[in-house]
Amino acid sequence: MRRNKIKKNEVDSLFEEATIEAARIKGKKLMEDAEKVAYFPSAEFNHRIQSLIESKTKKSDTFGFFNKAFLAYSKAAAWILITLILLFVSVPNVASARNWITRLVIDSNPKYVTYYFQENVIKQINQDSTLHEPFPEGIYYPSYLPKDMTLMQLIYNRSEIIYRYQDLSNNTLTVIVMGPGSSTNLDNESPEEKSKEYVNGIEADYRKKIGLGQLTWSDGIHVFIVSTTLSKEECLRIANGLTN
Amino acid sequence: MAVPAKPKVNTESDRLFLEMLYDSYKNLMFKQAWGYFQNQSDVEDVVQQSFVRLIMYLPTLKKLNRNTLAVYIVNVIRSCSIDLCRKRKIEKETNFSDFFEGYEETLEDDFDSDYVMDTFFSMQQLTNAISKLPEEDQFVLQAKYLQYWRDSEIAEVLGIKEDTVRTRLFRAKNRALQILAGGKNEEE
Repeated sequence: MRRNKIKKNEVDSLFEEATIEAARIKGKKLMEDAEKVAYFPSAEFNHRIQSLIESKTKKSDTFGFFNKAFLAYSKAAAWILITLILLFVSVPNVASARNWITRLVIDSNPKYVTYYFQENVIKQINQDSTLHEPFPEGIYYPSYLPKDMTLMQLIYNRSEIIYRYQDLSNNTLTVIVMGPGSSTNLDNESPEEKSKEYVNGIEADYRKKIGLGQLTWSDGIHVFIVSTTLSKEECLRIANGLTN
Repeated sequence: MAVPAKPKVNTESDRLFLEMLYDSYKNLMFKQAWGYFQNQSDVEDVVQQSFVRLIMYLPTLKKLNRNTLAVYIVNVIRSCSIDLCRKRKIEKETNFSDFFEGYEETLEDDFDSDYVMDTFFSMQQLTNAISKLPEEDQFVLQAKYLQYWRDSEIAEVLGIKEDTVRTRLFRAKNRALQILAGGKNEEE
């Protein structure tokens, strides 16, 4: 039993509580009285009530159609949105990802470029190049490279191809293959070293100046130039390894 | 009688609840309706109208327990019966005389409700006092606190003005406090 000093502003809530409790007691008696006598509504009346319940609880077909249409539209819109987002995100990144992977592979494996040329699949490594098609067959490339030599730049412009390499000790290597009709000037001004060498049976001119050795020769069609800060022996090995 | 906004009744659980409502309370509904009318047709009309109205109050009904729901249903049956009687002008054959003007005079005008409210009493005592109230007072209190009907709805059911509803509610409470005070006096 609960006893409280009643305040006027609490009267409403007290009456609500008491009214509900009184209703509960009264309802119990009403239910007991009602259960004493069974009423059997007619089948027709029961059917009317059942129909009433069905009609009140049946979902509207019209609204159902619109709901379904709206749901389908929402799903379609969501899928289109997701697809567009994926496209916008992935498409620009495909090219950059491919370039990034290519650079990664080339950086980690200096001879990778050889594979590229052999397979004739690379289109463009150096961004300065305007080439937008695969290298033609028969292009020259160095099949031998000193250890740790990394391709830094590749320029191809149909008339000539230039490979620039560098190793961890900052030794540089430049291989230039010029196409038919090309010519070059040899620097005769006070070389530190000058000699005649043979590259694959072809006479070549080797000269060294300010630490940079340069081997130049021609097969009658192409002009080959190999410049490096490495030793003459290494320069000759690279030159002999030049193949197509 | 003013009806509330159409509730969202469209789920399987609502359908099952309504079927349970009819199965469990049809005896009560028919018993009450037979108390107001003498022919099967009127009784069935009132039960059907009451059921339609109960569906309108479905969200509230689902919150009530079995016994308070019985009182709610009885009140709706009564409201619909009053409606039907008004439409058919057969008031003389029914037992709604309590609901018409005139019974307020039974209240003692010099009754000091503040005195009762300032004293201690238990919820059980107040519940008993409400149970002893005349049917019409209980109806007003139940309509207000159990069924959460607006004053306008209660006014329409009883065929009175909204201001009168508030007066009746006030007097019903005072009567309950009067009974409470009488009970306490007897105890003392």
